[in-house]
Amino acid sequence: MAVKVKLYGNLRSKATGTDMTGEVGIVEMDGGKVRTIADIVGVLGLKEEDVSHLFLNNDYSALARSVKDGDVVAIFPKNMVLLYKWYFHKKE
Amino acid sequence: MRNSRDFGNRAESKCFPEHIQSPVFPGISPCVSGNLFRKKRFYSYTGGESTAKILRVDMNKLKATCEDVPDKWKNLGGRALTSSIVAEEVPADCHPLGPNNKLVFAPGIVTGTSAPSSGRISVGGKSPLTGGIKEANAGSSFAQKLAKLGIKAIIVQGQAKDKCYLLNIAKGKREFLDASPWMGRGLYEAYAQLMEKFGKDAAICSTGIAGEISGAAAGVAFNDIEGMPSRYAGRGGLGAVMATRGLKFIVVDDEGGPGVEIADKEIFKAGTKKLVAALHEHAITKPGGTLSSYGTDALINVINEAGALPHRNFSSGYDELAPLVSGEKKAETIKKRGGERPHVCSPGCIIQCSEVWVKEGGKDPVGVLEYESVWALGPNCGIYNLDDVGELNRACNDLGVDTIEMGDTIAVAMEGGVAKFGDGKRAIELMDEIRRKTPLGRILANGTEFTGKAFGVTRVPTVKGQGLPAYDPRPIKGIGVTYATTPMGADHTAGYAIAPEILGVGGKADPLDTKKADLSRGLQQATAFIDTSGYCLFTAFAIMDIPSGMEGMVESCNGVLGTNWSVQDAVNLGAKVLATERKFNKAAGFTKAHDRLAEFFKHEPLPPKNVVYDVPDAELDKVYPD
Repeated sequence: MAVKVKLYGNLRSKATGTDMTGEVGIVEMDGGKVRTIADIVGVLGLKEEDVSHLFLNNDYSALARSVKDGDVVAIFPKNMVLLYKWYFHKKE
Repeated sequence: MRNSRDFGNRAESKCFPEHIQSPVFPGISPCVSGNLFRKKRFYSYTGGESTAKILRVDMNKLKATCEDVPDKWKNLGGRALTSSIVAEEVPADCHPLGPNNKLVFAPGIVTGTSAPSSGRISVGGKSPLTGGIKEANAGSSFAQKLAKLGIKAIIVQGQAKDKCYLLNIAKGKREFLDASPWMGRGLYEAYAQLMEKFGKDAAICSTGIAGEISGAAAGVAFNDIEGMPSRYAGRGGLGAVMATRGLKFIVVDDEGGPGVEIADKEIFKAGTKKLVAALHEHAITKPGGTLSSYGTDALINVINEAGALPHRNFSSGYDELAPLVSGEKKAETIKKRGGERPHVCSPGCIIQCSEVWVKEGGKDPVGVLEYESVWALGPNCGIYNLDDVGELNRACNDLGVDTIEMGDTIAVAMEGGVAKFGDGKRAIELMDEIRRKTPLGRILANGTEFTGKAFGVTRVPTVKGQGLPAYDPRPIKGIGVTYATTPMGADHTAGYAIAPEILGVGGKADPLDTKKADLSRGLQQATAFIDTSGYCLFTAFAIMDIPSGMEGMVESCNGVLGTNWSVQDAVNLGAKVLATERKFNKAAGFTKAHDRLAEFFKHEPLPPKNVVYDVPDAELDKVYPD
């Protein structure tokens, strides 16, 4: 089992394969090698300023959150920022 | 088949001779109607006072007359003006479709000026869907043309007895034309023919077939910049109020109009400059930002990942098929097919969230497919096919129904066994039931709650009879407080606004925190001001993060009105609007028991987070302790 990373918008180009719909980029990473969402972003060759909303197992999350095998991480690019922040709060 | 020239039976000529102009203000014609010159001529420009007028349309007598704006309303626009007029002139206990209800139109304070993204019009009345006061607003050139013609509000009252009419408004001209030929006809065809008759620059407002059958889900349609009926003041059934006045269309031509007076051009210019800078800077509203790249539908994947996108009548907050109707998928399909994106809903918008969705081969343009519409007609019905969603949206536009209410309605009908979740083709057939005015169509045209009762469904997602929008309140507690307590019924647009620190409220932003009363109240107040100003609500993203943007918004209003409002004054005005609306609702019979979500939210856990709505009733009651 690995960490499943779902990439949206123009970040889909970072994925070599796609899921059944072809609309989401899917990358799997070894949970032993990536400890946080920030690590995943780094492995993808992205900087913090390249991404906007991050979700860990459907929780709106900060970069520093820890990940493990079996987790699902969703990453949105900078030009898909749209959450109305007073109703959504990042889990640190 | 009748063509656009078949406007027979002109009711009464309301034309005032064009050569008679205001002696003081050359752009203004005296506003009169009827076949005779009236004794009182309403052109009272006296230097420093506004020349803008209220146009009162009496459908009993088929007369449209201009009135001076009372002092108490002269600094209002948009929602503040529609709600103030409705509260003063409409008996709260009247039947929404009966003779005593009125329909009020009002452009915002800065609408019709060069202020960015400000082509908004508010429509107000007593709602046949909620039984309370209603303000719904839309972005359309109709708003700007009305304002440029010097009309601050239109009050439509009375009920035409024999037929339905088209009211044609231009400089010095108010005429009623027989609109009977358009009864039972779709609005796409009607708008195309009206554009042919009145010219491509005409602006149109209308009610559709759903209004003709008094459907409580009927919206008020406005033209987009292509002349299609895709811009809606959709919520609350105001299309049925318009239809029961005997008014089917309003057509506006602003040629030769006086324009919007600006009391202090320097302040106005400085204010709009600050707001433009904020909109151009913010990641959501800037060119190439989220809204111009993907439109509001960018939220499909985001809210789905947050576990809060309602699927199959609010039975799940996540589905892996959601990306099939996402903003990315839609933007890429539009590009491939030759539609348009980005696009403006009205001239002068710099956010440009709109688009033109088309079929394969670039055919049959629909207009914009908004996030709320895509969600309501898509995932909420288990439909994950953008072409089916596009055709359902087209049907809503064509029939004159609110997309959110209709999506909730179809989903509840599916729950009740009328169709299977996911059957897009059957859903499109259901829309045809409305077109044919069948008994089933009449049930559906009356919205979510009515349909739930008809088919014995208990999972009916409404507040005050109005269907919920595209954010499930179980994982997002704060929006649930706003859904429950806004005077409008479940409304996602009621609580966008500015940062809590600006509002001076103490609410926490944790979505699962249940202490939300202060936050929701503050957001509702600031939103009521934005809905009054004439600015698009999406300016809220920029003014929330960039304080000079909010200052600029208020300063631009000051420039138009000659006022000296602070940001806090603006928020206080929003609070007054809400107090007026709640007073009306109280007189209409609303109590705290109406400030609640549908019961199932409290006991049905929503996957994947498996949370219920657990904000205590006492917390909801703190929002408006009156």
